[in-house]
Amino acid sequence: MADYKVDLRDVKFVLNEYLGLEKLCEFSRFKELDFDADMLNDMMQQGLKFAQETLAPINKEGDEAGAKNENGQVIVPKCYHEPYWTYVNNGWGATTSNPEYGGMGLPEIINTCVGEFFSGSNCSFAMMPGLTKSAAYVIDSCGSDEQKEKYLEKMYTGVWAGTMCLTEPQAGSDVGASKTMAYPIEGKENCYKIVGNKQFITFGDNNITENVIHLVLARTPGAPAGTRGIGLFIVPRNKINEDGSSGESNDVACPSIEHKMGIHGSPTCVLNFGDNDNCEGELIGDIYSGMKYMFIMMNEERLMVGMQGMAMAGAAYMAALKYSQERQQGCHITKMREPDAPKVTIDQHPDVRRMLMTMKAYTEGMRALLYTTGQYIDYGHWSDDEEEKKKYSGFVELLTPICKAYCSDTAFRVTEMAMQTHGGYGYCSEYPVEQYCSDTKITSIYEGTNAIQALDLLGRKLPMKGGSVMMSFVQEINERLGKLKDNEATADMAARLSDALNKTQAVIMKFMGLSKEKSLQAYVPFINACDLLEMLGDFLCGFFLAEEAAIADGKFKAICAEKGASDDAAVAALLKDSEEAKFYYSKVQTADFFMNNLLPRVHWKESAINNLNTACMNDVFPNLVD
Amino acid sequence: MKTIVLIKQVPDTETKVKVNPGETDINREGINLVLNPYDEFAAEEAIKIKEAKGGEVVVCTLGEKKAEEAIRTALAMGADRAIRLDGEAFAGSDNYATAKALAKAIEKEGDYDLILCGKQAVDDDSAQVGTLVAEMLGIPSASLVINCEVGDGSVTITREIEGGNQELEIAMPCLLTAQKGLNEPRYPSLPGIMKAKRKKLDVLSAGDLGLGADEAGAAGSKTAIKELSMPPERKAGQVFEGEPEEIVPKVAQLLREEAKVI
Repeated sequence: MADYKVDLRDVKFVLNEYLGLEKLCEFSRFKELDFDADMLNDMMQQGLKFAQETLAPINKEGDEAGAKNENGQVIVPKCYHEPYWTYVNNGWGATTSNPEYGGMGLPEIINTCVGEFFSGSNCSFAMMPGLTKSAAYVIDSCGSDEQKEKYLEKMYTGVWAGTMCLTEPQAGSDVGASKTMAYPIEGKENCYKIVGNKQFITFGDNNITENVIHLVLARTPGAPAGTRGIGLFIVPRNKINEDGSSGESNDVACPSIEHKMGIHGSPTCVLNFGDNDNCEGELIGDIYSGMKYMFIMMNEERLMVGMQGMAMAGAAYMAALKYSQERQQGCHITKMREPDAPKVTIDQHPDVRRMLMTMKAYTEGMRALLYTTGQYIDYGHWSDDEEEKKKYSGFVELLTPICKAYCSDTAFRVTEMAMQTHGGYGYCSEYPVEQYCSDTKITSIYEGTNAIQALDLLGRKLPMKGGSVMMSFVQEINERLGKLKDNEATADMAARLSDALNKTQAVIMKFMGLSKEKSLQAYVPFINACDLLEMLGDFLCGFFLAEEAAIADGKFKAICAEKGASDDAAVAALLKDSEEAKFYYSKVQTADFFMNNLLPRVHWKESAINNLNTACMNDVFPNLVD
Repeated sequence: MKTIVLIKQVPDTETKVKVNPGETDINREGINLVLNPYDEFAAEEAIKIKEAKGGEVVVCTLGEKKAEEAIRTALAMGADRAIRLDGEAFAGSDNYATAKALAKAIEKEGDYDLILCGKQAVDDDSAQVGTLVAEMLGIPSASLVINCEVGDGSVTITREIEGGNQELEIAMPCLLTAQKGLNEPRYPSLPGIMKAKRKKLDVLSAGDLGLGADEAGAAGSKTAIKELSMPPERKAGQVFEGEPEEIVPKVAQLLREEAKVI
């Protein structure tokens, strides 16, 4: 059961037919690097090959072996070691990274796409190089030239790993409550003694790489309280020698790792810094700007976490689809009363088809959302037009909490549905959906819980720049909805989407008004922040599916015309004959299913929120703690 | 040391093949195409030899523009340049005509020490082109090679034979067809994929190779596909339930009268 399946046709459709890579390749950055669409597609194919042939076969093995801590030494599953070196030696650990320091300089959209394959085939494995790349990017963006020289190349080539150390026992969602200290060392410029404990550090240590470079949030003596007084420090596990090699221990210890529901191959570490007063760290940039720098990494990781969810949802859907086409059980629903009716595969049953279509629609909607966001990142970073840059960077900020929270929550439900499709076998580890489901759950929790994402959306992203980013986004969406309305195939979808968008905007306006309330109703926006985020997520899924459907419908009709399929019988025959026709037809059908069956969740939520119910804020729960 | 690697682009091994009635090719719509897996072994071996001994690796294929994807894979692995044979004249080439075109291209290229190719392409599984090319060039060949040591003017190889292995020393130039086990093909790296774009790729026509109208494509072929069909679907099996005394005679009767096997 080691195979990893992805709907490659849909991936190619999103990359080449929906988003298109040509415009990106025209940006001067990518022109200089001499990228073209064919080359980027080759990279995508090779990433998939590596995922299918090397990462997928060790997904279950790594899960069963699990990461271990033996006398303070973190042991990563043995089957990860060799593939790790293949991965980094082939450049996958530095896809989008700075070519000046050995990075590949690829557009984000290709990183997003291969990220789907790597996380979908082996989520635990993909995390270590993924974090290293992002940690290095923080040093690249905010570090001194000396720090860049010292760390980047070794991190981009995977010789050293990287981590992010935020959480402490008392400082989880409330990062500002962190207690880890950094004491200036006299006579050593920019150098600090680090003392404190961190926990939940993904790949906080490993026995693959020569060194591990931790990015640690810590406060200096006398720093202001909360997040305004935190600095970011580079703390290597082993001190770096004058010649740049890794030296003696830097007094960073991993006393234990967590025992978790999923992602067993990924060691989730407790880290103690400076137990023996011998841990040194280097300050990055300004002493109180640590949170700002760390947010560079957190935003990257939040998108990656959304992608992890989507990737495993996609893999689980494909596994469920295959299983449903093999598993015979029961007879056709129309022959229920015939004792001798032949048995059929379960994909013939209407309820199974509903589940398959639900999974398909969500997976494709999330894929479009995440790939689009990847493309916006490229536009935001590399467009040659300053206005365009600003606009798309704003869109990325706005979409980040939605990508993270909506995709991780939805993905868990998709993997659960994939398990349901399998029946009892799905609950057994013999089939891969059990692991997809337990590995996916963490995505709604780590990297800022989904409630934190909802508050980020509500309190920071929607009001950002006086609400102008959201307004500009809505304006663009409305323009594009206008085009969908002019297309016969998507006019009805567009009308439903407009309605959903209007209702979502009305909820946002209502929330803004409620914040001034003195009654319990002032809590309503916070009680329902997650619902608002989901409304936007569902709307966006539907919107992207409708845009894809418009393209697919055109191509489907062109094939019908070319093959002379003018009546229902001929179209039915064409669908049996032509994979391409069937693909485009299914895109339109999927969008249609989403608008009719899943988009109405937006309306339901809107009417629930409008009840302004605050019962949960009253004194209603029995007290279980003395 | 110059090694020429003959490659073919084939449908991904996961492809569910469809045949349209009356047609002589499979339905190629929506199929993901890849470098023939056995040719990956050949390319890997050629690149390893180059890394050890120096020289160059030239990839050669007969195929439409789309086949450049497979060429780029081999170039990204580390081959130095490529030749693609294309043009209407090649349409309908069978194994013989394909081998002839490749042999002509190799002669034109000249000055080679070794030719490597997969033991067969996983689409038509005919396993003929490599050996035919060697015959046409008048050079020795060995198939199903699982080990290869290049010496001075000759190669020592191990090849699979029925029930065991055979070791041979073959004078170069020669042609070897690669079997699984020869090596572990590398993945093309990202820098490799970027470099592949800048490597030389020559496209040659039948005319460039000096092939006459009756020597290439369908006209130059010895065989023609008349029809393709899917194997008949297997009928569902019959399950007999009951006590052995009751059902054994029934099964025996059916084996005799229907299946006609006893």
